[in-house]
Amino acid sequence: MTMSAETLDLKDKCILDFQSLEASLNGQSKTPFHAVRKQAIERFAELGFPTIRNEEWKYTNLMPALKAEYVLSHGLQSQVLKTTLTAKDVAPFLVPSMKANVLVFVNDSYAPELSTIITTLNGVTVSSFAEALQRSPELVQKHFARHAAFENDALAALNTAFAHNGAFVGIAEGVVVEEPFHLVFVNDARRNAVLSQPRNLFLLGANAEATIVESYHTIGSHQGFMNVVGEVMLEENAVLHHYKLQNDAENSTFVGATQVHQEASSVFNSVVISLAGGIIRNNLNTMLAGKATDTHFYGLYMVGGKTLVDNHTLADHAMPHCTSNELYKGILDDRSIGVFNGKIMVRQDAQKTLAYQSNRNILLSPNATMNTKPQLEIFADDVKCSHGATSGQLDGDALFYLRARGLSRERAQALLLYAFAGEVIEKIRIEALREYVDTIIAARLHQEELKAA
Amino acid sequence: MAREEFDILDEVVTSEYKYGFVTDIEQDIIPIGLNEGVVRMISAKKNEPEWMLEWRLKAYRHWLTMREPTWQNVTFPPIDYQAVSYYAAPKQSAKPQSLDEIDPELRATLDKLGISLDEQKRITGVEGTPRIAVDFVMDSVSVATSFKEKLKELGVVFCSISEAIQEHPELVKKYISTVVPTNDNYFAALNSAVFSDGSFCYIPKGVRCPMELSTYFRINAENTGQFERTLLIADEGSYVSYLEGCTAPMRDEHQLHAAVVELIALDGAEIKYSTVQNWYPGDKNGKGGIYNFVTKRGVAHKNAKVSWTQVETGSAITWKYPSVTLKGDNAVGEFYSVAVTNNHQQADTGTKMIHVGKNTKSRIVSKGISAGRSQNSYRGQVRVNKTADNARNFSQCDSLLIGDRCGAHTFPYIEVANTTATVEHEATTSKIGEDIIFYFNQRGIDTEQAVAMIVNGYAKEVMNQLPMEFAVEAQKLLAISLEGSVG
Repeated sequence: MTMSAETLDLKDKCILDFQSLEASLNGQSKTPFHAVRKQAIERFAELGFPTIRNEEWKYTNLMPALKAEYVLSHGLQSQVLKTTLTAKDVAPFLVPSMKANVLVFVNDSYAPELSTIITTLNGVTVSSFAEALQRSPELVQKHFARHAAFENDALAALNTAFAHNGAFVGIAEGVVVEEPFHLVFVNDARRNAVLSQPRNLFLLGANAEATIVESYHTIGSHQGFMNVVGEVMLEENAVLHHYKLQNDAENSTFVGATQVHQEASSVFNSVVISLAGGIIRNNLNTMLAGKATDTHFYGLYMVGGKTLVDNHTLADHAMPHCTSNELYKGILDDRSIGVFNGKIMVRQDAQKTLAYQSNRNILLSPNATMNTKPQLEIFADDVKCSHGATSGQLDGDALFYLRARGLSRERAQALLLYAFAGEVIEKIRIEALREYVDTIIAARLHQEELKAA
Repeated sequence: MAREEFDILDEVVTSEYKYGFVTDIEQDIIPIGLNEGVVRMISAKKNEPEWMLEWRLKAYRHWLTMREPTWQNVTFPPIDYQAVSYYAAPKQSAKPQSLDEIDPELRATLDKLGISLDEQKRITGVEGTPRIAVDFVMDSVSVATSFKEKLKELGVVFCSISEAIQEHPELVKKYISTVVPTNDNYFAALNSAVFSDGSFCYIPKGVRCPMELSTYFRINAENTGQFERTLLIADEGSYVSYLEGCTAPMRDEHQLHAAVVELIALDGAEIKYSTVQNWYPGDKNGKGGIYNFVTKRGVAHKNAKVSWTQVETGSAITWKYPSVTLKGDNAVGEFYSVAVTNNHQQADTGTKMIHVGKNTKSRIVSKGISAGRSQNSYRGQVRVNKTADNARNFSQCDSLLIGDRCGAHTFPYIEVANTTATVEHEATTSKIGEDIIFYFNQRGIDTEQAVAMIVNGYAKEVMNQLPMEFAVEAQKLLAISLEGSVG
């Protein structure tokens, strides 16, 4: 019972904060944008934070993470949460030698002094979500909460209610941007526990192409909670390469939803790499709303300690001739817990669908756990869908082969794990980023090897 | 072989639900409704001992506190539990001694069900070559059990559960609700409160049961629910193969069937449990049919094996998960299933394999076939506990779609908490290729027959697990169920 009382605290706090925020709004409270936020807080009030009784949260218990005395990052708290971070503090979060547009957000506020924009192409709009809302309210309102439904998702509802800060990337029709956009989200929890809620919107016009990298970080010893919602709109033939890099501190909780809407012949490539953190929950959903779209979901989680990584994905095939392909791989050590829930939905009109999904896991420690739920829901008959899931240990034969060639047990294991992870890492198209991830993983495996030897 | 298949198909093309007759037999039905009095009345009718009544009441009181589950992937209008009669029994003065003594109507029923005269004799215990011992349950009451004497020589107890409560209370008391607790789920609690009969079987240590044991379930009376309870105990080192068949008359309204089956395989024992379920599925428009909400679970102790095989073609809604708890080291669990849905049928079925002991193995092969406007879901759980070193699981669940109005769904839950475990899951969904159908057509086989043959081939892996006598019947059923789904 005490548990639920604690939850009520944060829930009530969110609702109260919303009320005071609303009271401070003056004229803005009449906008359609705010009307949506209002609906969202009402829905959040009804739903409350999800417990493990909720099927979508069956294996991920958020309750302990809700106990901290969070300061919610929103307009009224800007003084309390005012950042004092310098470029030096943020430097470790950047990917060395990656030539990219870097946008830094501290406690979800855009920090232009820490950011660098190098792309100067016409037709590329990069700004904070708040700025985009101010400049082109109609465009933002057209997409805001249209893709990421909050009806049955309390955290998306909460994010929607406080939607204000975050990133906006708009690429006009036919524009191809070479340089990636690296969005660095930092929770500054040095003085107090922070609950920040970045809201992102990426719009790619027809035939446009872009690359977006998102990474999340916590500084300081207080709890950091980040609740992100990103909406992605891909018009016809648009191509988006999307990367998520998660290598955060133990005192962090991350819940992030990415909702993609794909029009005909668009391509969405996603790679999610989770290497450390407290609780990591990724919701990655794509709606295949046009014909002949292409979707690739790749994921690698390699965690130890007490980290919990929960990946929920949904490929929602609504139109014919679409292809979705998914590969998630996991390596779980110590007391870590992995959760994978991959859903393929094929609606009645989505004939000639090809949908594949695979989830493979290796448990390194007797105390690690993996919960997998690959799920197919198929309402059309002319389709080819398959999924596979395995959980186990390294192949004994392969280990033997390497050991017979004079490698130590530890070295052989490290080598095999490296190859296991490699299958996902090689899907990263940005060379600098691929090498960066590769180095982290190689270093970690080397450490493990030394520790074991 | 080919000849035989054609005969089957011929038969199929001309038949609908052939078990849809009603036996006009005198029934002892208690009024509809459910309350503590009804539970007491059922217990009193069965002349049960005090502990059994207490057990029922406990279950009933718990049931009152429970809510109907809502997570399933099937939909049905709310069930009015007060509109069901919880006890219906064919009126009979004493157990029949020869065929002539049984009610001719009942004999006619057996005839129509395709139970041969020989089998009828066996069922009624007259004479005959021993092969299958049958317990015939009509409207939840065991009508006849054959071969009792023969089995008795080996120490095998095979009788109705009410008889077992009277004659072997120590066994019943020791094992009942140890696998499926009375408060396990909504329907199991309801069953515990009101079950009227069912089968009981005990195989003593080291005995290999010489014949297939079989239960034939039939719902006959109107507005009744069937709540039978099966308890099967295989003592150390024993073996038994058990068959279960089900039919019901065609009726416009839905009827509830909520059974509980508990299997206990003690050290080194093996239980093979096969079901051919052909309850009335409702008509083409989804009117009527049985709700088949059953709890089936087995526990396998050290070196024991529990194997479920099911062919599910009937019922408006099939909602069940025959499961195995692999409790002892080296235990083995198996689940082979073919679930066919046509017209407006819905199925949400699968299994649970809970690995507790070391070196435990489980295998799941599930074949779903959906046609018409039906929805077919596989839902399964494989859990490897921390204690289950070297656990091994392989699951395969395939779905076949016939027509573009049906759905096939897969919900596997895989939970692994042991580093030495190996768990594999595979699933595919596809339709029958046009090229394959074309190949058949080219050879003069029409599309409907072609589909029946393809489906039989597709389901063969599971059919092979069935005992011979059942395999033939199951094959026919598959074809009947899909009749009219093509073209």
